[in-house]
Amino acid sequence: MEYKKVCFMYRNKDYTMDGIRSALGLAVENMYAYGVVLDNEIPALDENQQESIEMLRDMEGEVYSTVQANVDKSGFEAITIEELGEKLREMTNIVPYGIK
Amino acid sequence: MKILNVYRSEPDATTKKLVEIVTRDREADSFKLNVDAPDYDKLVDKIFAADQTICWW
Repeated sequence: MEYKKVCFMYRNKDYTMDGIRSALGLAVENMYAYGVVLDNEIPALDENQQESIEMLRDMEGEVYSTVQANVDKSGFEAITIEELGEKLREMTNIVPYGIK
Repeated sequence: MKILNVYRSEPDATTKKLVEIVTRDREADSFKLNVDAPDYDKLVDKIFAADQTICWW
């Protein structure tokens, strides 16, 4: 069985956590789900938000960021725009999430 | 694989770079929603003709 791979991209910090929860929802539905925080430094995650990301990781998903502050503060995996582009080539679905 | 890029706003440098990488060595089409009176019938045709549709911000 071939599983779908979905990548969400978040460019508006108001939608980031909502979008991460959407990625988690797809992971629960047996899809490989990833999220990428672009452009913005978001506030440090609280315990519930960290737990959501840990659940996503448990299901082989991941949250990345192109912003180093998010990597340092929230433990996201660092990614460059070029690396993200290459990753998107592997995806079944690509979701630029929320409004910019 | 044929990719349809739908733009809700004018693509900036980041979006252009991602589109460039994603569509490299692949067939690509585009449709702009940020114009007056988009031709939605045409959009539907393009979606059905594509293997993957990405609706950018």
